[in-house]
Amino acid sequence: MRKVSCRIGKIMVGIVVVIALITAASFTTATLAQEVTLTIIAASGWTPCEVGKKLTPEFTKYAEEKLGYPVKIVWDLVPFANWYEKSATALASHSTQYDIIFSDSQWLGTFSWGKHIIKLNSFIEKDPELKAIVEDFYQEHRDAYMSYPYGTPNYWGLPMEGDDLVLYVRSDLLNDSTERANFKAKYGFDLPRTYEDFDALDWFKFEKVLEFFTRPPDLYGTAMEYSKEYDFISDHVMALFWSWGGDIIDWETYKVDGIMNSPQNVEALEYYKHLLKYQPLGAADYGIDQCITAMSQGKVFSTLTWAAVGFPIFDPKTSLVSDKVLVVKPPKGKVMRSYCIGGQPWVLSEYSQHKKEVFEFFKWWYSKEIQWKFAEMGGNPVIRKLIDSEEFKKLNPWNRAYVEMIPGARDFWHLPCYAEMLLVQQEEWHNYVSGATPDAKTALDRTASRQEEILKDWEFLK
Amino acid sequence: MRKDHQENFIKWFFILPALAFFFAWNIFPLLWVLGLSFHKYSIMTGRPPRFVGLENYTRIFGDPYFWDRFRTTFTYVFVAVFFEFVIGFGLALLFNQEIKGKKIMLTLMMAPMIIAPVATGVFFRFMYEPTWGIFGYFLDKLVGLRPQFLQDSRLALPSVILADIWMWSPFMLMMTLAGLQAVPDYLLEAAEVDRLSWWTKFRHIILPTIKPVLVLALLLRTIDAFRLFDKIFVMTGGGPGTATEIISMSVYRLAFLFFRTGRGSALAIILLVVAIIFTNIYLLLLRAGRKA
Repeated sequence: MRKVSCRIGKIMVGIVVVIALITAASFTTATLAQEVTLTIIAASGWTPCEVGKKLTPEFTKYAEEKLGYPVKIVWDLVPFANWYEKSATALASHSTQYDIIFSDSQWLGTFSWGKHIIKLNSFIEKDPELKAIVEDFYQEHRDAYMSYPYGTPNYWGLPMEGDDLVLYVRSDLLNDSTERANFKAKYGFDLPRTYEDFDALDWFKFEKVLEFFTRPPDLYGTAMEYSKEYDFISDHVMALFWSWGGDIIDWETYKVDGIMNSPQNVEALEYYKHLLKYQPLGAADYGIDQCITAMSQGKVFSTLTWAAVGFPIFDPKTSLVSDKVLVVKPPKGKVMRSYCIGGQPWVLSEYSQHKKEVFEFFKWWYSKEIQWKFAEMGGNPVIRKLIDSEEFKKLNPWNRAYVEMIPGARDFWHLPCYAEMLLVQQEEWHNYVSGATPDAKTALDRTASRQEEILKDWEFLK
Repeated sequence: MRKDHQENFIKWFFILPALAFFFAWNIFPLLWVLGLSFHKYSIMTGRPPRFVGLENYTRIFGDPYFWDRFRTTFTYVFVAVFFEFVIGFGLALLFNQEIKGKKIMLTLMMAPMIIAPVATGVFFRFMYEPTWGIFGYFLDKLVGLRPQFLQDSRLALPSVILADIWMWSPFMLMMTLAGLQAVPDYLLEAAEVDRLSWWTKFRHIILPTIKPVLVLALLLRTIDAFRLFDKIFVMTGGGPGTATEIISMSVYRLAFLFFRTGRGSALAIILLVVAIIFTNIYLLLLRAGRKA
């Protein structure tokens, strides 16, 4: 009996030893063959994301050399309309699914408020390489893509795609001698022709150009964003507010009444609606796509839209005017030239299990070589040592205007109630443009009142 | 005694899984939403829910924009369902006759109903496009007008309703036709023998017989129209301005765009109550009809 027990004991010890050896071996193998996957959620069909997806396989090799193991990048490209909803839901549920979120700049408030994303300040301070990268960004980019509260040195994101509003105009029409002669005869001044001519132009002179080229139904003066969708009408109207000397909020006290509905803003909103008369039928519903299509198909003389979306206008496969377009600064307003900043940052999820690899990825992304490749493929990089160079400004037709519009460009509020604040003005301003609200003052009074309600509810406004 | 016990056990054995499923998927979430509706809570802020009593409800009922959306929703539901009913009923009376090519025509008539609402929305959006849409093209040729159907705040709601009528009139046709074909032949034959007029026959024989089916069809369409979201979302996004902003879009925005979980829950509960009220009104009508 004792002999049997002894044998069983030996067998048991043997099994334990074998299991321990197998486990140890598998751990060693796992360590040797460690492979990390970083997942990025981003918007499908959006140039910087599509370009990013094409570029990032190069990071795997870089990581292998730098970290000693490969790091794979997976892009989850979701439809534009679901991009915020899916990103926010993933963060709210503390999901580890995504390491990096390609975010819109205004979402920084919402994401940081709930501590769903990592505050980057301490990491930047600790890492001289990262610090040098951040210091190389424009202040406007640090404010827009990194900070919450807006404009403070509390950094939550890094700029992925820089962007601002630029003006695309038909250079063939501007250079046509008959057109030039006819214009001069009608308005008494020369048609602007060069980048510098447009730099000196204000909205009132530019309106004459729009009027001149409005020849329905074949050609219209311009196409601009008026749609209620997402932030389309807001981007443009707010640019006019700022350029007319107005603002959208008291950034210290969060008071909206008296600022949103100021006389300057009323005049700017009226003017924006007035410009519809130089645009194709249905322009009151135009967003980015419609503007680009109208321009590419030669239906409009100009379009005021983002530098980031200009690529299809210059693609002969999709555009009838690919070799006939000049990109310039949009006109000055009544007081100054201050337009909306576009673009998107990316943020690091609090729930990511690969934070070390994410920082390595960021450092790789902001290397001059990768940023240049990004620009070559149609993206708008952000590092100044690259974008301030003459070489960069000549690379893509929109690059010069993109860089020169950065100083003075502004962003929306980065508040956690951003989506609510935005919808209010999208609704009220679109109601005015579509004729449901009789005048701009009423539309802006309602906007101010509803936005103050939201700010009180969130306890920003006392 | 033992047999009864055994039978009871078997009954519960089969009923319990369904009950458990029903509780887990319907009752529990409903109670959870009801509970949330009394709290100030946002899933994004990371703060715990704070009990606020009826505040979410009072805020909703005190908000003029909420009533505006309710008015738009009711207009949409009543106008759309009314015309769907009238058109569907008329077509059903037509197809209840023996006509040539009836089967093919009926099949074609049903087509809109089986298209995904999102696709219908996109089709109509294209057709309403003012510069190259087919409606604008013909109106331009006929009367020299190119209306901005979805951009003009006065035309947007009727245009969206028209798309709904196109899509759902076949449903009314199908339901009514099924009811008409179930009218007993002997009653109709007796009416023929008695030489009753078409109207008398319709009022005293056909209508009472098909009334339950009609009420059911109206009930289903009303509830379905009330919770409509996708078609309007792709056609107008609630615009221009707020011209086609219906209540289901507000629920979506509150819950999944603003992440105001508490207030979104309160609005969902209000919608549920409205749907229950509608259901009961229809059922009362049905019972009253039966008694009469």
